[in-house]
Parts: sequence; C-alpha cells; structure tokens
Amino acid sequence: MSVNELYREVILDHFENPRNKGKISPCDFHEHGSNPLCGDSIELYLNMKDDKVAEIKYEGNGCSISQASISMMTEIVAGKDIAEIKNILNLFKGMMLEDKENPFENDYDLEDLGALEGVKQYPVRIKCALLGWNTLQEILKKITEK
Amino acid sequence: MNTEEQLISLGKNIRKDFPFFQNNPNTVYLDTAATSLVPKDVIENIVLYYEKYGANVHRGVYKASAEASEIYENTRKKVRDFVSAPSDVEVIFTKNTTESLNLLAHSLSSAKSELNEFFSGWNDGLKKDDVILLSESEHHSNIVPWQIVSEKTGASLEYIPVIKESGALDLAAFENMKNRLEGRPVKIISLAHVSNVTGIVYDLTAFSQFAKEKGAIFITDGAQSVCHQKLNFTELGCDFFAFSAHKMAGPKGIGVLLGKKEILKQMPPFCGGGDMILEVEKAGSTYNEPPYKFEAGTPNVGGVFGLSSAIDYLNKIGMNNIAAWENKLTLYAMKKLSAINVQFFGPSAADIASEKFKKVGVVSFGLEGIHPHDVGTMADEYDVCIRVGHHCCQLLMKAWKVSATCRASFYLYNDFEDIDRLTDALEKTRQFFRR
Repeated sequence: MSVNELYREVILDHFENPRNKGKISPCDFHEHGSNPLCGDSIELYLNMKDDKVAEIKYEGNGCSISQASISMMTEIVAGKDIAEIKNILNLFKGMMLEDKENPFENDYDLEDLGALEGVKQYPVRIKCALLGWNTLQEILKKITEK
Repeated sequence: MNTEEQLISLGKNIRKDFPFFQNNPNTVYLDTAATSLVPKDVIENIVLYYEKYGANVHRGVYKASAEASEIYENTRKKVRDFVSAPSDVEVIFTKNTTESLNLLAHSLSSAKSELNEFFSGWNDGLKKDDVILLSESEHHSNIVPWQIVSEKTGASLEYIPVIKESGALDLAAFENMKNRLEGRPVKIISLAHVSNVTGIVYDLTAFSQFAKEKGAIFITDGAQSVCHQKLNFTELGCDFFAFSAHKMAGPKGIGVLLGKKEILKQMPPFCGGGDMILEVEKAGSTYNEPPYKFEAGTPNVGGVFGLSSAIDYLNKIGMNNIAAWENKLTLYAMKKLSAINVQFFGPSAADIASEKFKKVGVVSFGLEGIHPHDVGTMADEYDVCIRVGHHCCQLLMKAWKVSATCRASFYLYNDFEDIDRLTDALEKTRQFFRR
C-alpha cells in the first residue's frame, strides 16, 4: 500500500482548491460536525429550492482527506433532490464501511468519489472521509422531518 | 545496580534489549509519550508469573500463591524506593494513572471530616462552591474525573491558564487567580508534573505552597514524569502521586497511586469487592487497611511482575543516564526541526537551549498548511511513528486555537539518526503536498 493510492491526484486537487468553502447566512439548514479522534470540526450550510439543494457551503479545517471529501460532496449534491442524495450517500458509505466495491467507476458525475476508496486501506482515516457526509446526513434528517 | 552512574550512550547500544526492534528493524519509534516499548526482561518476568506461579495473591494457602504474593508485596517497596518515597507512603496498584486519578476524585468527593486532621481546609466531602484547581494543560484524565465529581457535588473547577507561546503554566495569571480565590474554599489542586504535549517539567513549588496555605490536597499526575527522570516524592511536595507502568518500559494495565497511609485510612473506598474487606455482614462491611482497601478484586499480578522488572531495568540503566541521553536527543531534535522551519507548539529551541524551561523528550510541532493527520500518515510511509491529534489535551489545543499537533517523543532506545529520519520524512511530506 502506498500513499499515492491514498492521496490520489483528484484528492490533492480538492485539498488545494476547495470548492464551495464559506458560509451561507442566513441559511435554511446548518449543522456542526466533528471528529473526536482528531478534534477537527466543520460547519455545513445548505439552502433548498423546489425540493432540490440550491446551495451548499462549508467552513472548517481538517486533513486533506476530510477536506477533499467534503469539497467533492458539495459539488455532487448541488442541484440534486433528497432521494438522489440519499442514494449517493448510501453508496458512498457502503463503499467506505462495508467493503463494497467502488460503485462510481463509470459514472461521469460521481467518479471522483471513487478516489476515496484508497482511504479504506487506512482504517483510522475512514472517519476523516466520512466527516462531511455524516454531517450532511444529519441535515437530511432535518429536511425529511420538516 | 548501577548506582555510580557514568554517562553512557544509549539508543542503538541498548536496542537489542527491546524485541520490538527485532520485529520492526526499520521502524523509528517516536511515540513513547503515548506508550513506551518494553524490554525483554519485562516480558519474561510477566511470562514467568503465568508460567511459574499462576496463582492468585493473598488468597491461597499454598506455596505458589504465597510466593506470588511476596513478589507482589515487595514490588510496593521497589516502587517506593524508585521515587524515593518515605516508608509511611503507601503504594496502591491501579490500572493506570487515569484510574489512580479517578480513585482520588471519587473517594475524596465523599471523604469525611476526619481528613481535616491532615488538610485544615477540609470539612465534609466536596460541596457546592468548593473549588478544584486544575490547569489548561492537563491531560483529559486529570480533567474529566473532576468534572464528573463536580457535577455530582456542585464543586466548581478553576483552570490555571497557559502562556500561549510556550504552553507553560502562566505563573503571573496564577498570582491573580490566588487573589480571586481569596476566601474561597479551595479543596483540591491537581496538576501534571510534566506536560504530555510540550514536555515542560514544572516546578510545582508555588502550587504546593498554595495548597498548604489553603489547607488543600495537592495531587500530582506523574504519568509523563516518572519515566524520564529521577524523582523524589518528598521534594515534589504533593500529597498524592499517580503514574502508569506502560510509559516507563512496563506493561499496560498497571499503574500506581502513592499517598500517605494515614490519609488513605480516612478515605472511603473507590471500588467494592474481594480483598478490600475485613468482614461482610448483611447490613454492611468493614474495610481492610490501605493499600488493600483500594484494590478490590483480583489484581493484575502479571502486571505487577512486569512493573517490578521495568523498575529493575531502568535502575540498571540509571535514571540520570536516561535523562541525560534524552536531553541530548531533545536538543538535537529542536535544532534539526528549527532548521527545517517547523512550527513549534511549546517552548522554542532557544528557550530550551537557554534552560528557560526544563523539558523531557517530548516535542510538539506542525507543518504550515498540512494537517497533522496527513503528516502522521506520510511519516508512517517512511516508517516513522509519531503521534498526531489533540493528545487528550483539548483545552491546550483550544488555547492554541488548533485542533491537533504532531508530537515526537524520545526515550532511551532512540538515537540521533531517528531524528534525522523524522526530519527527512517531514521534508518529503512537504514536497508531496507541495507546501
């Protein structure tokens, strides 16, 4: 196992040029997420319009894996509806936690997410890759409860 | 035993004593502050207990139990001698420093007025408005137990602040704090002797003095202290001293609490069960004398055998030798790390060279623009083990406004080339992340 499989070029790219970083104020939904292992924490902001994610932004600092994963996530969920997002979230968590194969391989829209598969070889870092997604899951719960 | 300690080179010369290096010949282990590696002697003595004795202590009438009990009991004296504690100081075996501190927090929270004989500020347990004094640089194990008892009793916690630049306890702020605490019932002061993040060795005199003025109990967390230097319990000026075997070449799962027997006699037990009682009736029980009162249930006998052997090993090398060797490594590391412009969390290289701070072999640092977790993973790629994270010191991290740092820590088996390997790995990490 080499670090080149963990830190794939697309991950380094998102780490160096994070997308959708910032705050939405006021916003429809806001959630705080933290990783007790490393003490990293993020703030996730989301606005809905016509049952779709109109805008999503995040604040916070963390390792390259957590930041790249959140950055990719914000690009992917923007413009999608809740059902689509839940499906991607389940596929992503399945890949990261349940040893399922990369489901994003031939999907032009989602294939960047497959780059995070290498993180599985570093079990202590899986939580980093999930930080943004777990925070998003909390917002999805709030949206469905509403 | 090597009493006339001559300064000898450790590092590579003693690595043969540690089987870890035979199994991991290319690994640079710089995480002793989390847990130390264990010499073969210690492992063999634990095996000896299970293979030769096996029996429980204090319970069997047969020879194997009696012999195991004798070694177990003799280790108390060995521990006492190791930290030069007088004979009226009792040695209680616990799981680790954390358990020793929890024992104190829970037992003291309901200790009755009999303790007033030793601590003039004590009346009856902990109550609302009583003050427990800690610091911002404490390990979570010296914060959370006190938070738990403060929730139950209403006692309030006060934290001595740190100086941001060095991470050292702010003595000027402590003077102001003393004024603020004028007339308030400070009951307990609990502080680490050595920071597990900055490696600073504190002169605790001002705090033990304040405890005396207040008639308060002074507790010292020695987890990072006892492993690195020759200590003298009396000179530390504390009433209780806690440490773990696993940071001083011993096994996991065994720790120590030292305190005066007469004081311990007046404290209620922390855990109930076998071996800690004299007589059990339906209506209640009478308790055994310390240390047994605080050692409910079958203890970690193998762990005590391991601790005994760890003390023998450290004594054979000589604690002053270990301290001198570590100091050389620390100065070298500070110089090398300064040369590659890392960001130090803790005293600067100049502060250490000028002896403004006394420091053990623990150095916290960061690389600009690269998260410590990424540094840790990259260092591991080059087989260099460092700790990254908050080091169970989130109050200190918050004072520094960071979530994590990198930490390298040194012990008798480390050598100068380990530090070269670390700085090489850090430079490669920078290149990789293009920072």
